Amino acid sequence: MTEKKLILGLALHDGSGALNNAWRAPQVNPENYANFEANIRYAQAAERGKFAFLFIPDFPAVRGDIEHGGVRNIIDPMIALTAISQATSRIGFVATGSTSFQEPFNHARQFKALDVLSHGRAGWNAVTTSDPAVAANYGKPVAERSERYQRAHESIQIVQALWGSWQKEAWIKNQASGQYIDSSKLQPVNLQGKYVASRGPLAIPPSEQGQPVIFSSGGPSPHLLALAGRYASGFIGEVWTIEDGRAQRAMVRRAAEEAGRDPDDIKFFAGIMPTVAPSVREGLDRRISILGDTLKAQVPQLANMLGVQIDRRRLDEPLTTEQLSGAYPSRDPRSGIALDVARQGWTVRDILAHGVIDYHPTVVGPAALHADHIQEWFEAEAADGFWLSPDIFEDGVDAFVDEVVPVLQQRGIYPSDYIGTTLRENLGVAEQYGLDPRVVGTED
Amino acid sequence: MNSEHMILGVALTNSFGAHPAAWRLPHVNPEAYTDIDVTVEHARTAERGGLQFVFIADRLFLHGDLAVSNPLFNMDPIVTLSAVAQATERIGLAGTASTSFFEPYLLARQLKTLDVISNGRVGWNAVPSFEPDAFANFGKEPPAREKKYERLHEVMQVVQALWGSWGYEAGKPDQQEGTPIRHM
Amino acid sequence: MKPVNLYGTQVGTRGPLPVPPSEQGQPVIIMPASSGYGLQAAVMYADIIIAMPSSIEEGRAQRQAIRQAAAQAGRNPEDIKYLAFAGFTTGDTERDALDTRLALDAHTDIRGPLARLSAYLGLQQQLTRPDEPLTTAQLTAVQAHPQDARSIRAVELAHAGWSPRDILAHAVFDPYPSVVGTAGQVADHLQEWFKAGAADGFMLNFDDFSTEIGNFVEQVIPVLRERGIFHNTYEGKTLRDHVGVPPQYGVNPRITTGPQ
Repeated sequence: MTEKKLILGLALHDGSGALNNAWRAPQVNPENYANFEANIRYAQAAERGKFAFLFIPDFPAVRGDIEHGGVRNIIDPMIALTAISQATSRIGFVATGSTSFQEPFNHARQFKALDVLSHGRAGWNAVTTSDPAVAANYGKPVAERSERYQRAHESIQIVQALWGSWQKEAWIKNQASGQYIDSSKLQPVNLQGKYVASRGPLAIPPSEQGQPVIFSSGGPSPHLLALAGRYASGFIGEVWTIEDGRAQRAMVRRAAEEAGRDPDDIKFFAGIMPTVAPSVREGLDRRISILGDTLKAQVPQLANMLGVQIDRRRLDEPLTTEQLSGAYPSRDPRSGIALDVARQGWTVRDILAHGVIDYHPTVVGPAALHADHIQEWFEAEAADGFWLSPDIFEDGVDAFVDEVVPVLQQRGIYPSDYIGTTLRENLGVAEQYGLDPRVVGTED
Repeated sequence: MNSEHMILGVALTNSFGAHPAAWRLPHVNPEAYTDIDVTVEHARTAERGGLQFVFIADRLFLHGDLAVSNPLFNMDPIVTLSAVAQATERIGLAGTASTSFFEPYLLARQLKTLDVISNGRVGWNAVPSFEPDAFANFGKEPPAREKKYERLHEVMQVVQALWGSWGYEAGKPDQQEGTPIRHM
Repeated sequence: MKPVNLYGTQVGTRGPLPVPPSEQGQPVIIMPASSGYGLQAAVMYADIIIAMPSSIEEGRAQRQAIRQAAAQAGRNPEDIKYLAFAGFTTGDTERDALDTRLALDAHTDIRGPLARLSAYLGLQQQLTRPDEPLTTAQLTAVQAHPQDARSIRAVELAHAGWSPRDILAHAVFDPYPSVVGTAGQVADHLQEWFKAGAADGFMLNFDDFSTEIGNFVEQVIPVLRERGIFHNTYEGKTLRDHVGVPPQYGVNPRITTGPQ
């Protein structure tokens, strides 16, 4: 048994990058939101770095300031990943699909079709939808939480049952005898829930990994943990500190155990938003040149996080000794990091350029710093792996793959090649076909 | 397109052919049902001949007797065409999607995404489902004919309205000005 | 970009959908040929209508009916393309093509088709010798059903001296008109229908994709081009260009009924 290795995934969402204003960076083709070749290039770079999966978060509605912030989540995840599957051979695909507005038969069919035609590389990030803007696009109100999660449990069970309805030994395909399948091994599922139902069967045979891998994502509410514990093999987390990561990973593992599963069958992924540059200074400058005025707008939030007054006109000065001595971390989980950076003596602009208000921990600087961050979290059991949102895809993916990945490999914590050909193998999670016999009953 | 010229589309509805015994021919790969490379090759051959489009019909239930023959329909037309789009350049990509089961927002988004990534080559065969077997897969009973067509009209109009909601004039992104699209 | 806010009694949406126009604006709409509600919907929305007429006469009549309904719905009839299903098996000779089909038919039970053929030929007594051409007595007895294109074709083939197995191998019972023969025969069928105004084009079906699409492309397409009835190359880039239907973006303004 070799030592446990960490797993990497890449988030793909808008063709430009995770940094605010990334679409305005000079190296980015601003039409990338509709330019598929660019996304394929990023996917191929991630595959060169032996990433286990691409992850498409999804928010099927327009939000935020599209006039200046750019548009995200344009491309339908299923269509995008199917297209990318044709230009890659090892990397897996995790597409987000909501159980709140889609029919299980449709999810079962599209995800298994992608799984089969990509030779066992598909994953489904099964989410519930609580956002009124998304619900409105489906012409419906947001359902109550208990109903959303009940529907999610029913949907996932029906999907998995449909996946298993073409049994593994069903496909005879004997050209001489003329027997195509053994009909006794392709039978209806006849599942009737409170909110969704399906008769089946689904006429799609097993892929090389049997069936798609299920992911969960979000904050660890009891409802989400109950869902993830039963069905998910991957959990896309949102954590800012090692302590958060350890706690959430433990919760997710406990949830799996409570559902009757092996806790190692669910992998916890922490987010990271890397800017790889020869030095910290160059990394900060790269970010400042793109973020521009949006940094100034973050000053009040930083002030709140540290509990101090900060003058917007003194962006290029460090916090004074007085300010620092009065500063304390607020309840915002990012404030501890912000305070650490402030105490290192960076100017206000540089503090913000460190990404202290980003959605995930940000590391800015040379490869070794990124490797240190990842190794520290990994060895502290704060994550089984990481999902990356690079600052700018166009050169950020290459920089991570070509500079950080070799360091991780040298340190012996990251595989030098793909473990197998399927997503399941590369995640190191158990075989599954159809419903998991260990998981019985539904929530409520 | 010149009206002296006929339009030719080729039905690639399953991976083998229209004859129920096609999968048994010695030169045919009996696994073609799941092998996307086979369908890609058929589409490329049709493209070489200048055929205007490939067409993938659909049924939302198990159709035909699989004991003796392959499924009559494709694993999933939209997913299959997304893969074919990457391997072809000119030929049109037409597929069936029922108006009876999917939310119009989902249909609009998948079909237009496919149209964008294929550089404008998509056709949507919009059909209302009528078979009780299809409705059973969605836990439903078939509605009366007029309700099926009422839904079809609503779906067509909602889908096309969504397609038109990013106006042509919304424009292209301007990195200097920082305005990717304009309100209209 | 602006919201849609369209709600019917069954579905609805707020929108907008953040996907930019494609090179053809938005997908081309295809619908099956139908009557009643289906015809009404097709002439409202469809750019292409796919049909399964069994004869030139039926194709002409249905195409005309659709064009008329389109005009009544305020559309230019030229903007709707009517495509007819057709099936083809090509060989160097008609015999070669039949043998290709027979290799497939060999895997199916001939008894059912033979009984059906007997009925379509108007014979009282069932055919029993699939490999022998019909006897003079049988040929005297055959009688086509005048309204049935398949029956007429089966009788023609019987009179031409084909055995029952070969008549069946001519694909007389395929669900759409099919030609099993040389590239010239295939091209003749397409040309005849097209020139008669029975279709603007065809939905091609092949028994065995792995060989027949290539045969069609290599053998039939050059004949159609020589005859000036098929384009030499793609003139444009998009499906809309390829089939010659007008631009459309969003809902066509002529559509005023339905959900408001």
